[in-house]
Amino acid sequence: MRSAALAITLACLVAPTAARADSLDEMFARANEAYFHGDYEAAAEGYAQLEELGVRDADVAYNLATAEARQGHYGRAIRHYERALWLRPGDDGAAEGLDAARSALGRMRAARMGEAEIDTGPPLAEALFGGVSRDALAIATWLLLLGLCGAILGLLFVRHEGRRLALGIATPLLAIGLGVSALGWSLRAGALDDGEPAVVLVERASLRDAPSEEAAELGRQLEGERAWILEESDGWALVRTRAAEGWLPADEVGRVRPPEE
Amino acid sequence: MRPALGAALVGLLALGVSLPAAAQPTVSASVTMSADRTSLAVGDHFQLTVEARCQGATDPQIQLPSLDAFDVVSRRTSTPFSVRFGFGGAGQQVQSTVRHVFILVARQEGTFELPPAVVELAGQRFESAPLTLTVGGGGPAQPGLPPGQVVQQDALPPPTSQIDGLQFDPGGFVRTWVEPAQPYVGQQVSVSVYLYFPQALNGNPMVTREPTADGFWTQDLLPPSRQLRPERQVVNGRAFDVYLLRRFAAFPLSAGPLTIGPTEVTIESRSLFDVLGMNGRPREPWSRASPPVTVEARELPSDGRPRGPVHVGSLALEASLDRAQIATGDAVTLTLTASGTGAIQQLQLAIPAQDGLRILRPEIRDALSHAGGVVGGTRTYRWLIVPERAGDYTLGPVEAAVLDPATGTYAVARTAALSLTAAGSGPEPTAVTPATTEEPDPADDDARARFGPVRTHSELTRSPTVFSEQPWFLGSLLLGPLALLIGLGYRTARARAGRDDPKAAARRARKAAKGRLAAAREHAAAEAPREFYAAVAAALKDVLEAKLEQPVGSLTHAELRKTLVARGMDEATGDRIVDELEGCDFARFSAVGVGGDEMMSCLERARGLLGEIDRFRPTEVEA
Repeated sequence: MRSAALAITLACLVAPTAARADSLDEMFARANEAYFHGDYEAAAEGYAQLEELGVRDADVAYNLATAEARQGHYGRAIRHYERALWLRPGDDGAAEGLDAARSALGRMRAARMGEAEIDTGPPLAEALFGGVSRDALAIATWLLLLGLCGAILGLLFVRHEGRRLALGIATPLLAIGLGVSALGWSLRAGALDDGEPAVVLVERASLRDAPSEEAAELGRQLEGERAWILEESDGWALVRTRAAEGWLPADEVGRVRPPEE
Repeated sequence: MRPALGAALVGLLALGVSLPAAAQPTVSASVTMSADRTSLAVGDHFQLTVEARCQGATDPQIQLPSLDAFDVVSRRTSTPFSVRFGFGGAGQQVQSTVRHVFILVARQEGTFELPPAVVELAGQRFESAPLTLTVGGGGPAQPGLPPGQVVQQDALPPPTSQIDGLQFDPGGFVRTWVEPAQPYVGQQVSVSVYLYFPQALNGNPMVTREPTADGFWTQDLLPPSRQLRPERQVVNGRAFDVYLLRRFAAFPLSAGPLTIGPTEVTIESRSLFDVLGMNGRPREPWSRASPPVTVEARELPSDGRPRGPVHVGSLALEASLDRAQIATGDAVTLTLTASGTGAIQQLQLAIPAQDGLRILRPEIRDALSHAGGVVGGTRTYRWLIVPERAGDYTLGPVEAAVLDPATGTYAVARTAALSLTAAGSGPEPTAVTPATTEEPDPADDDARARFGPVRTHSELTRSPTVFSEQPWFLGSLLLGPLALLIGLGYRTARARAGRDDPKAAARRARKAAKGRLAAAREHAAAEAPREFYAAVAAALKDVLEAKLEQPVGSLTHAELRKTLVARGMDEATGDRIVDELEGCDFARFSAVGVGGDEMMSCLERARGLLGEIDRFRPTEVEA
């Protein structure tokens, strides 16, 4: 009797999880099917729905980016490729897709405007540490900090001259390594960012000096350009760009990082 | 002698004065007058240069012809001057030149003959040739400019005969110029925004408010980055440098009044003094806005208008099939190229549907251009066509109605009809993706083909575990510093305890003494008696100092013996210790011939003495 009750309890606990997993899998499969049938719009909708349901997966972000790119929505593609790289640093496919999306956007813009400039290279911090995950940098920081403390302790207690010499050489090296890894971890975790990284999604977004269509236009941001969202209010986002700071309609700029649960 | 020398000097001076006068050259001059072009239109700028080169005279005055028929935008005078000194017959040669350069604007039509420019020197008259200028009506500038002075058509400001799109301000203004003002729906309107500034810019003009173009489909005609180059223009009798800031093509999407919004331009004037903060209150930036300009978009003419969408501009269509005969179920590619002017990117073409043919969604490529400010280019459609049954098919013709906006007349551009023969039963064409819509895909297919494929497997992670952001991990970062702190605390406490506890000091001394004896043994093995005896003596003294808690290094052997006895050591032991130390000192300074056996026995004695010292309990020192 007791074992039967236990089995029922376990079944009740496991069942919703399994049903949800099946549902997500089915949605993913349906989106893939739509993609393979050339219905990129439906595919993108399917992947986006998965993200709305809380899926924070680099493969889903990659597929969504690819489906958007197939529709020529290169700004959205750039956003989701960057998200895939945020979720899984060093993802070669996402990095290649990101480069291809930037190139395609540049060619398209050049065809329309005669010439175009696209930032194909990532910011310096991403170029230096973009291929290393936050966890890897955190572990490196942890180990180097432990090593540095151990080396200092060794200098305090070890009497053997040879060992003291080795510790004396190791200590500054460990300190430098710790500084680099801690800096990389801070950059990758966004601790030093002024605002949340985002990407302009529309061909031309008017940057205004107040959250209103009537406000004076400060400049224009082009599709795929990087911006940093400082705050959001009533459908408007206060963003910082490389040139200025101003307001954009919130649906014209997309955050790179997935929202927190 | 002296009077003779003075006379010679006077003579030489007189000769020097008289020689230049004797060698005075004849005066001559050459006067020229030229224009960079002699045939131009009203409102055109041109450059007139009058130059006089004179020999034997300085600062010649040129009598210039009247320029009343033109607006003088600028005038520049330069006077290069050279003097060459010589001796003998060459003497002193003076050469000077005066050059006047005018920038003029033709004000009215007609033929104008400029009389010769004249220079009078030493009673002689020198003239240039007369110059004839022909000014026609409005229109593009005439050819014939020197290569270095070619004026770019893109940068030419619009004529000022019709002053609109601006609010005149002698301090500068912004002007929006649209052409034409009454276009048809879908016809290109060129919108240009100019900055008129009365002097050289000392700051970068920033467009702080872009012109809005609601109701238009727009296309930029200028590259995103370029250098601003001014053109000179006279408005209301004042000369301005004119800068082209924006130019785009706007295609009205519906009939009725459509407005190009105002453009606001700001110039932050910053001199070196401003930068250094030496000007006190900072200068207010210069800011002006152009008035909005309204375009009256007209409906397309109803006379002879064909049904369906109409392309405004010019259009030519051309179609081809990659194969004329295929197996049923196989696919053939129909390529249609539409080229011309106007909103080519908005052009939508379709192949008439046919029973037995499956026409898939086309790939579309656009190659746009805006040569001379006219938007145009080529749009290429590529359809995959799959015959589902055997038979002969005729594809097309594909047609598009075209309106010529200049004449307001319609024409139809069409392709030739193409024949396609499908033979055999062929495979069932079930695997082909059906076209979901006839809407053209805006993406460039070549570029799109580079993306994908998508990934078919995903963990569908809902919340990626980033343990580096977990509180426990952040807490674990404190482990190292905590261990360091504990170690430091332990070391400090141990050092403090060592200082306060004499037993601990004695223990350390014993340990140190053992170390010294071990070193002494090595010295003995190495047959180094001086070092051996020094180590033994140091071991004994270290232990004695720790035991007595007072330094013994400065005591003589007699004083040491006395101290040991005074602190309670029996005299025999004290004697042996002192004897051993004396023996060590003696051996250190006369160690020649000391054998290994002797050193080893010394070592044994020292060990015995160390044991006795360890057992010794000294009495307290009397105050």
